[in-house]
Amino acid sequence: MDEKQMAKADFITSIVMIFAGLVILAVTLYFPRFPEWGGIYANPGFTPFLLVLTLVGMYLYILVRSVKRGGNQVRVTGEMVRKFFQSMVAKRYFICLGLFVLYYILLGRIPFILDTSLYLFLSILIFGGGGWLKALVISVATSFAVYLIFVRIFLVPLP
Amino acid sequence: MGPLILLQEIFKLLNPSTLFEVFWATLLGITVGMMPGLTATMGIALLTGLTFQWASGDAILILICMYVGAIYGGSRSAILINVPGTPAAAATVFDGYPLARSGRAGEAIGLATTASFLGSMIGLFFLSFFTPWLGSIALEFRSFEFFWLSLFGVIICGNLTSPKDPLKGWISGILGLFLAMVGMDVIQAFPRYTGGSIELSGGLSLIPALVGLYGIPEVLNGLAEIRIQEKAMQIKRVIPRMRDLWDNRKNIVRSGIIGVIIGVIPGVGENIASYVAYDFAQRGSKHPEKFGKGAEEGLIAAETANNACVGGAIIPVLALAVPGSPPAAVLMAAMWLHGMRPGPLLMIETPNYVYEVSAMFLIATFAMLVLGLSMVRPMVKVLNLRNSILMPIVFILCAIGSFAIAGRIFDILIMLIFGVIGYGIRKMDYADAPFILGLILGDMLDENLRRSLMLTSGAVIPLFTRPICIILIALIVLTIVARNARFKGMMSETRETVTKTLGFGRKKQP
Repeated sequence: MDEKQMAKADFITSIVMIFAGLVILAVTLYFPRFPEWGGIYANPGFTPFLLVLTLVGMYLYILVRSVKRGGNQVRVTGEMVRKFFQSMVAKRYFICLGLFVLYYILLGRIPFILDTSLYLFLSILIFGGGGWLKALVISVATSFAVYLIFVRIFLVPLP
Repeated sequence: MGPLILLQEIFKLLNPSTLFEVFWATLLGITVGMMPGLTATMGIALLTGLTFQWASGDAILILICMYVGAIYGGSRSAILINVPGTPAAAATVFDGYPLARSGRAGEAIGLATTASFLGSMIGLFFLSFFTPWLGSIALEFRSFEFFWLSLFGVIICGNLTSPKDPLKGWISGILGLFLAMVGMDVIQAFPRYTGGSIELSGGLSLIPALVGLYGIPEVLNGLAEIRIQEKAMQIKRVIPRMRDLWDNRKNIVRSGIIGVIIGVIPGVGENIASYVAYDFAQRGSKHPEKFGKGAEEGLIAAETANNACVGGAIIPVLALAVPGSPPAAVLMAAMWLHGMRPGPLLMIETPNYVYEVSAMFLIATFAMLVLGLSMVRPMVKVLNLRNSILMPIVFILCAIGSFAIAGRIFDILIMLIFGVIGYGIRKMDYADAPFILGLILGDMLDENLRRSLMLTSGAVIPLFTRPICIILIALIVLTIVARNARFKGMMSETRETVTKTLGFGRKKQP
C-alpha cells in the first residue's frame, strides 16, 4: 500500500476501531462490582477498561493523522467495487477463504479423510497445482497419509 | 555446579530413541524453515498441538529442535532462491544470494551452517549460565514489577518491530493484551466478553490463535497472490574453510552477543537480531563496500545472530515467564500445556530444568550442524515444490494442530478468525510480534495490576516508587520518547556537541 492508500485505510480502520472501542467500554461498565475485594481496581473490567481507553485514544490520534494526510477523501464508486471483485488476487483470496469455511463446516459432519480429500482436490485444481487426476491422487494420498501419521504416531484423535 | 548438571542432562539425552527424535525434529525444522511462508513460530505452534499427547520432556525436546532447525533453515532459501524462508533470514539474503549467484552457493550454505552453529553455542552459553542469575533477580519481582515488566515487553516489542510507525506496533500489542482478557478473569472467575459462549469461557485458545496468526496469512498469500517461484541453484562444496571462520572470529563473537541481547528483549526476535548484527558487521568491516554484493562477513553476522537469539529468547521465558521472541512465546505456551511453570519460581521448584532445556538445545544444535552440512542436495529439492500443492497441505496441518490441543472443532474457528486478523494486520503495517506478546502477557498484566492495587488498598504510589519499578518505568518512558522526532533531534545535537568538544568522531566511510 502506498502512503495515500494507507492514510485512507487508517481513516476507515480508526473509525471502526473507535466505534468498537466505545461499545466495549459501555459493555465493560456493566460488569459486576465486587466491593468485598476492594475498590474499583478490583473489578474484572478494570484492566480491559484501561486498555480499551488507551486504544481509543491511540486510534483518535491515527484518525487525526490520517485526515491530515488526506485519508478522509475516501470515494467508493460502483466501478471501483466491480474492479476490485474482478481482480485475480481478490477472486483467489475469496475462493481460498470459501474453501477454508467449507472445510470447517464439513468437519465432523462427514468423515475426516473425505473432507480433507475434497478440500485438497478443490484447492489443487483451482489454484493450478495440476490436472484433475494429479489433484485426485495427491489429495487422496495426502489425506490417508495425514490420517495415519497423526492417529498412529502423534496419537491425535481426529474429528 | 552448573556445568556438572548440564553434563548430566546431556548424558541423559544420549540414547538412540532420543537421538532419533532429535534428528527427525531438527530435519523437520530445517525443512519448515527453508520453505518460504512456513515460519519457526508456525512450526512450533503446529508441533505443540501434535505432540500434546507425548511425555512432557519429549515434547519440549522436539519443539526446541524445531525452533533451532527452523531458524537455521531459513538461510537455505535465502541463499538459493533469494527468498528468506523465515523472517529471521531476511538479512541473510543480502549477501547469501549474491554469493550463490557468483557460483559459491555451497560455500555460502556451509558458512551459514557453521555460523548458525557457533551462534547457537554462544546462545547456549548464556542460556545455561545467565538464566539462573536472572532467575535469582526475578525472585525480587512482585506483582508491581510484573505489571510494569509486561507493559515494558509490549511497548519495546512494538517499538522495535514497527520501525516505520511505532504507534501501530503499540496498538498491536495493546490489542493483544485486550484479547487476552476474553474468558474468565483470573481473580473472580467472571466471564468477560464471552457472549455466553462456554467455549470462550476458558479464554481464547492460545495455540490455535498463534497457528492462525502465523499460518493462515501465509496460506492466503501463497495461494491468492500469484508469484513466480525461482528454481534452486546447483551446489558444489559445502564444508567451509577454517580460515574464513578464523578471520571472522571477532564478527562471530560480536554478532552472537548482539543476538543474545536482542533475544532477551521481550518479543523482539531473530529477524531484528540479524539486521542489527549485519549493521554492526558492516560498520566494523574493513570492506563495507562489499556488503550486499556477497560479503562473507555479512552472511556470517546475520546467521550467527539469528541463532544466538534463540538461546537469548529462551532466557526470559525460563527466568521471567516473558518470551523473548514469537517462537519462544509458543514454546512457553507449550511448557504451560505440559505442566511446567516457567518464571521466577522455576529456579526453586525445578532448579535443574534450565540445564535440561540447555542440554536439549545443545543436542539440537549438533543435529543442526550434522544435517546442515550433510543433507544439502536432497533437501534443496523441497524448494522446488509448488505453492499450489504445498499451501493447501499446510492449511490441513494448521487445522489438525489447532484441533489436537483440546479436541474441539471450535478451535479451528478461532484459528480461522485469527488468521484473517493476522492477514489484515500485516496488510495494514501492524507488526504481529507485539500482538502475540500481548496475547501471552495479558493475564500477567491484568492479574498483577489488580492484585498490587488490592494489596495496597488502591494506593498507586508503590507502583511508582519501588526500585525495579522505577527502572522499568524509566525504560518504558525512554522507549516511547526515543521515537519522538524532537527527542531524536535533541540527541543528535548533543552527540554533535560532545563530538566537537572532545575532538573525536566516527570515521567517515568511503
